[in-house]
Amino acid sequence: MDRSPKRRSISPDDATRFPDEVLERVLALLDSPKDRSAVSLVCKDWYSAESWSRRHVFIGNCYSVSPEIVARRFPRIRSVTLKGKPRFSDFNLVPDNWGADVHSWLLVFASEYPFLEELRLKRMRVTDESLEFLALNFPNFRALSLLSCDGFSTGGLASVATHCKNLTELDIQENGIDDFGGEWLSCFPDNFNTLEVLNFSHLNTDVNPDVLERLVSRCRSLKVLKVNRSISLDCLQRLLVSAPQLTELGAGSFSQELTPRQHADLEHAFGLCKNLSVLTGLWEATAMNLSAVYPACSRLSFLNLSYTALQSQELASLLPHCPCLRRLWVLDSVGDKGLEAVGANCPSLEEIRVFPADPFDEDMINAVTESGIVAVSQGCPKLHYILYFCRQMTNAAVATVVRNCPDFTHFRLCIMNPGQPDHTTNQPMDEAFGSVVKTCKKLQRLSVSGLLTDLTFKYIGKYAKNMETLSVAFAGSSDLGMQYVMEGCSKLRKLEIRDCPFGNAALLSGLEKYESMRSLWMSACNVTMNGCRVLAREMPRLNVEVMKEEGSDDCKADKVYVYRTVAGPRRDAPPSVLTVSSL
Amino acid sequence: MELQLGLALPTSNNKSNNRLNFGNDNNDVGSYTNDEVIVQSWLPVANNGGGTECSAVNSRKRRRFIESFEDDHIPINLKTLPLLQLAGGSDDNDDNCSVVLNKIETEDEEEGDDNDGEGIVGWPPISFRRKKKKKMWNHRDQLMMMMIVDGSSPSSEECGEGPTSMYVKVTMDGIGIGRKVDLAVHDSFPSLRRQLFAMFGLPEENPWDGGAGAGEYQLTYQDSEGDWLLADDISWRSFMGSVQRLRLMRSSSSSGSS
Repeated sequence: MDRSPKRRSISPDDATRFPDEVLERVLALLDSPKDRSAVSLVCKDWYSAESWSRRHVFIGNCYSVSPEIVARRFPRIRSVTLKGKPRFSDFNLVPDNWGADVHSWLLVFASEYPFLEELRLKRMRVTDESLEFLALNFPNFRALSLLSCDGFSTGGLASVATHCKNLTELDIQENGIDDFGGEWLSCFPDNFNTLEVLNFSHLNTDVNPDVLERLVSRCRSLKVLKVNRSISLDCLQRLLVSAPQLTELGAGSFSQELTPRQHADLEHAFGLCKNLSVLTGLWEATAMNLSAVYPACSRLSFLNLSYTALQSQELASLLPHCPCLRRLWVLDSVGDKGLEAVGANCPSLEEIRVFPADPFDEDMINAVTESGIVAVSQGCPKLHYILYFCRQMTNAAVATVVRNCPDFTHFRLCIMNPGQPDHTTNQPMDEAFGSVVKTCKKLQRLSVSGLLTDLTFKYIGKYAKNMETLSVAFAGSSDLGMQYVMEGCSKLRKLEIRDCPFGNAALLSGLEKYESMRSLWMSACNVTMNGCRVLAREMPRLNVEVMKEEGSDDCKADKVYVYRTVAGPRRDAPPSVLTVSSL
Repeated sequence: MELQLGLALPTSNNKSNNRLNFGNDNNDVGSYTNDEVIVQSWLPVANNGGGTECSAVNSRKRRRFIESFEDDHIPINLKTLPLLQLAGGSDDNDDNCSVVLNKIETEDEEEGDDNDGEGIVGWPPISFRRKKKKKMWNHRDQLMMMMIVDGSSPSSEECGEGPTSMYVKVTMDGIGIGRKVDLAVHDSFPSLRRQLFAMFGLPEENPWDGGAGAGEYQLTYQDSEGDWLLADDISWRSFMGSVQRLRLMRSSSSSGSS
């Protein structure tokens, strides 16, 4: 079969040129998709060589391209990452049957990439049938990662375990999965021993601990093990003794009452793990049990405590054991005092995420306030990533935070009451985000919240020149707000907006921008069908999709999803999703 | 019950309004029906003067305007709030967090029904998949508690090993700060009451004899379906199987509706 891009053979006249094979060898050393894109634009030879040498392809929006086009462009792919639904599907803003089904991709891959080794999917629909197809049709398949996917059950996992003889990675995270029991784990053959990554932390039902222990003990290369809550501390202790080489551990339930002997055994087992850099899980951990992990913490760089509502004192006791901590996720039950402990004990901290333990409870005591985030910024000058859920904030606090840590790349602040002003001055939070964008020149991702006028967006448009992702909710005063962003943010790639007073003028102000972006989401704004039609007419290489809600006005465009594509309009859209044409 | 400002998310007490009629003592514009309370405008209202206002007064006026005139131009998000669905942290990184949700009330989870309880769809922006898991695990923990209370030992296949603590929130009328109590350490209502007294500083002999209307405070609880019920109406075991949170209610404010 003749495939483009064509290959050139060497002729004597070309003695001064690089043979393709050499060029390919050199280019094979390039990993970053951005570098590879740049390389492919140099000239035809380089385009061709890059295409032949590419082994991994990242597709950020599965509808932006078709599998056939991908296969034509990159003939020798071994690893695919595919993302499907818009991010707001995580918040139930997208209907279940929206699409992003992986099966059509697998069918093409089976004929074009029979040697496919890795598949990483995010927010895609994956059925058991697809998983079985995958397991049966790709003899070299090694690594499967499913994040926030839905449509499959443990039956699909059983197919993968049964048929993928060389599996090294099975990473199942946070999916909408039908959990029919833990028998899938028993489907790994008795002589199977190649696993390096096993993550089933978010499956609900019990797996057989004996089966797991046997599997872990024969997979000597296992580096990442993340178990679910059904695994008791006794079982965990045995697993650790059997696999002290682990670099990443997701512990199971951590609330079991232990005898002193059990506690000592567990502590000893953690002490064997000299290479642990990531620790997560620890569901409902009690203070007593938490002390058992201290011996394993000396090299810890990422600690995820967001599955347990720790109090401030418990966190303050734990942190001194983690001197190398770079990333920390916690619940807001630790309170401002807990965050002060973070500031005091984590000088190398680069990322912190504080999630709400009880998002709907307004009586919540010990929740975090602006003091907490300021305390962290004072103690952690290397901080560059923050995700912070809180119930109150002030402009002054945010300004202080970014003054202390000017290198933020990701600043995501969620003040949980929509439209809430600065609680000390009652002013909008415009100046807070103004200070963020003015100070943090490297800012790539921004999420805003609180009471915000168009001024916030004026600041963003003027200063956030490196920003690629912006999330906006319940903010802005008029179309101008969105216009400022569309006109000013030259590197914008993803924009998601909900419940803002932006209408057609705002939508159309980005006309020339959308082709350089991955996607735009606007829901519960003031956009109408007419506005969408104009956009679709002016920009034929965008898909302009509208999801109508039941009972809404015919001319309102309730949810709008706009994205660039070379694959044309979707052919698999459900009835609730309209692709707007210019008609 | 707190004033339902236009800026604030309605509290879970909303659902219970019909049942126990907490009343709107602090509400200076009179009491709402459920419909009025939950319909709120979240959008800042753009004034011609260029500022923005987002206030309870606006939303109340707006609601009544709708009722009167059924104005088509009201912004689309001014609608009866669908039940809110809670979700977990979503972002582009590998290990997403699971939010530990405390006993969020849930309705039947029908397909396409995005919410339960009150609130806005998809807000706060935490992934919804956690809530389902948390709910399943809570039920399992409660099942185990029932078995322990019963005296039978749970099989490790069914319930995992070891007892779990069972913290639920307790609020008391008139006290702004809520507390948490571990129900797993109790085996009867008197035992629970003693701890609650101690927690909130109530003298033993004072407000409560458990009978309806007899003492100053009544113990009420929210069950797994979101309804608020009097704690003495059922057995301890059933109580343990369904309790989500507790509230010490002033009997004088109860009008006995149920």
